[in-house]
Amino acid sequence: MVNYIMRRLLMLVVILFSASLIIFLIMKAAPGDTATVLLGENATKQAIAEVNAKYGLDKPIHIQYIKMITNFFTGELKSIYYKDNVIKIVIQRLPATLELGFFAIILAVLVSVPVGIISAVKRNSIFDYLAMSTALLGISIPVFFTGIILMYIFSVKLGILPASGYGGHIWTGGFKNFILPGVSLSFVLMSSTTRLTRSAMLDVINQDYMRTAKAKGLAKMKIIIVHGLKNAMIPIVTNIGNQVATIFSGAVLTETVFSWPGVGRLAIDAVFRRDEPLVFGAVIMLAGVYVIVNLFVDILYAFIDPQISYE
Amino acid sequence: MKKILKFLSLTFILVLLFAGCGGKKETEETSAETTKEKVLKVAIDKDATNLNPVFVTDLTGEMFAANIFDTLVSYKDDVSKPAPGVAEKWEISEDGKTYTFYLRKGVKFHNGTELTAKDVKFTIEAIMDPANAAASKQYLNDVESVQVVDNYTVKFTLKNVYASFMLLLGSPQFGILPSEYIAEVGMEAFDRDPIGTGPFKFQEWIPDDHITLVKNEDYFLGKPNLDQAIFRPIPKAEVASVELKSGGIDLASSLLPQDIMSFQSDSNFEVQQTPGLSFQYVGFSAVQKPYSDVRFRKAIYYATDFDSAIKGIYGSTGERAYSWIPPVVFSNDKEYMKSKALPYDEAKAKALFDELKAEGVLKEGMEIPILSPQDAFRSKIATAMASSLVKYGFKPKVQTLEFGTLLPSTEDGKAGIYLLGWGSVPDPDRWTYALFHTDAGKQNRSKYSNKVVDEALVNGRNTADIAKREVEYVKAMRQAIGTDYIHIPLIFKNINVVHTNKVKNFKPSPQGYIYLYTPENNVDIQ
Repeated sequence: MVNYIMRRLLMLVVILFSASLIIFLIMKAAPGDTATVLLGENATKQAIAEVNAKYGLDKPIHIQYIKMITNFFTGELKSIYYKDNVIKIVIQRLPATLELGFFAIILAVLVSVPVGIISAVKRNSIFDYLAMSTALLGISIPVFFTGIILMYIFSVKLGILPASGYGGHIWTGGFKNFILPGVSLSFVLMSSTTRLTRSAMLDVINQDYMRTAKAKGLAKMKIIIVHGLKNAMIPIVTNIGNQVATIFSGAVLTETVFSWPGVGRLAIDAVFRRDEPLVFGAVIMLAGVYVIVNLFVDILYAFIDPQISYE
Repeated sequence: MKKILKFLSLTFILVLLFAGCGGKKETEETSAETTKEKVLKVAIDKDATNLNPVFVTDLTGEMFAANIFDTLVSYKDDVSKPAPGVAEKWEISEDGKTYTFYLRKGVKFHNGTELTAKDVKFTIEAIMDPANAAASKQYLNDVESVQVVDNYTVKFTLKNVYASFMLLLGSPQFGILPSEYIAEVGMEAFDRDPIGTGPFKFQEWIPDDHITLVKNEDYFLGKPNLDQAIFRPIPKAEVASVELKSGGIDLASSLLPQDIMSFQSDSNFEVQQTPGLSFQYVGFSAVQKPYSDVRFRKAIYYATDFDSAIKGIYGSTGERAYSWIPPVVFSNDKEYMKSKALPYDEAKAKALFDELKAEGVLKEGMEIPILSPQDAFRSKIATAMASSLVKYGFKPKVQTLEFGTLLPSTEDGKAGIYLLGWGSVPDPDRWTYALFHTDAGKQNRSKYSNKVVDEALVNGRNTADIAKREVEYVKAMRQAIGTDYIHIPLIFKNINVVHTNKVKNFKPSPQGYIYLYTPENNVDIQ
């Protein structure tokens, strides 16, 4: 296991380098340049040349790349817009994204796994139909629509929850601010996880060992949880794992709708502003988060299913 | 039984959780009541990127600079003439090339040091320093020197007469910086923790979440009413409306037209409107066929019902434009320019298109790209133009692009038809020279060139006499827009600000800035 983790961590370095090269080339290939966006429509050619010279954007691109990557790893890469350290800017935004992500995922798992199981056990019942149609809605409705509707009900009509904004860490009084964005974000997660749990459970429910367990006279609850769910867990964990990685690298839409100061919004704004160092730094860091979460999920497999081994 | 117990305990936990939330709200309210702080919460459509006036490039940054810093002269209450700012009086030499400013004594920066002529010189030099890459540097090309005469007198010498110089010095980017403090901390650290002389002090900036300003008790023009102002970046206009209704914010601009209408009929809110300094237009390439043919441009003008499209798409958010120079600036030759706007006339459009087809300039089924930004207004105008062009046998193609891509694609006459906008200070030079003069460079996106226009623009820039300048700008506009139809002016956008009834003494500014304190409007909240 230790060997495996070491190998994966070594691969992380390769992945980060490739990600940095790809994002750098994409930025260079995209039309538009930093100086024009920075100085606005009114800028003269001379002003643009001065900005390019200041940020080294007039140098050959391989030199620009080397400079950017060395600056990033020595912690000296600065955002052109914010005139501040890229790593510091991203880290400043990370807590808001991670806390919202955890909140949404925990909520989604708490709701979707039991609902999925009940739907599978009581297949074709009213509960099943209701759960599946709600899940379909959750997948189809874009988060900004759910968001606005929730805001209208809970903030405008009932006046019990703040509509948007980050009110501080979830444990330091910002909890109320987490409810609406958390529910909207988890609604999407919930839907796919519920459907997946249901189908994974349906696959195992008719297996021989389930029948054997029933014949042994085990309690229904024990059969479903211990014998059923445990075997259905792999696809569910894979799905949740993928979603966790995506959410932790910034739920852009949710962050925009709820004016949430997270990394997703930061990265998108940086792309639109052609703030190359910030896009570069943010992508490398988010790629890192993505890879580490995936590694964590892979390790989790070994605990869930003893047949999976990494030796 | 087990089930019931489980249900009861779950309900109990939930009740506790919500009771906890409710309790907290009460304590917050009580503490706010006892201190009775006057806090104004404002929605801004995007976060500031810079707070150091020298680095500021956008409206949000300018708005913060205008509240934290002061300029030599002030246009806060009246955009048409300068009022004393940090300078209490000034003299302009007869040849219009020397400006002497006499500074007030006792103006203090937020850290207690006094503002002197040295700080003014430092500020201008900081803008001119290429190392700072300031966007406003380009406007100082005519400045020859800045001289400190004594502690409270500063003299500017210009190379040429520069009619909009005073206006420039009144722009927020020219907020006076504390030279000694910056020498200690550096320009970039100052950007995150700025110190000015303005009515509000910077307190806190949590990026993408909020910026807090607190009142400057010792402000030299008077004490602000508000204790604190919290600016929250809310990127979605729909959400800003929800926040206004739910009490999360007290004041917002840049709302959607339909939301503004609903606020107008709600007695808890006040909608304030003022003609703004922002403009949108359709431009044509002057160097690419068939766009360079004036008959083609006129045919496009005839082919689309611009009046109805603008009315339907922009609603009451602005006023139809017929020229480039906005109504709040002088030289508004509106009646004449309106008479030159081409009405919707399918027969005339068809006749012109047929003529061009007969000459081989246009081909049946020709593809006509129309480039537009991604905003809801201009992309719809582009679509309206496209749907009318289909009727004449063309294949119009609307491309909506984000600015980073759109701006370079429309340079040097590369784009045949494009939709863009402009916003600037209230001086006709800043609304025309860069766009219509042959040697203006990048902003003359159409690559338009006309001797009459060039001459008028140079004369207008280098003349101090207002009446004479007006004649020149009228000449330029009548030629470029009224005769050559190089652009189709669409709209001068209004500034719409919605606030709750609790907010008092607020007046919107044509630039779209939220001024928390001006000598005439000291914003208050009940």
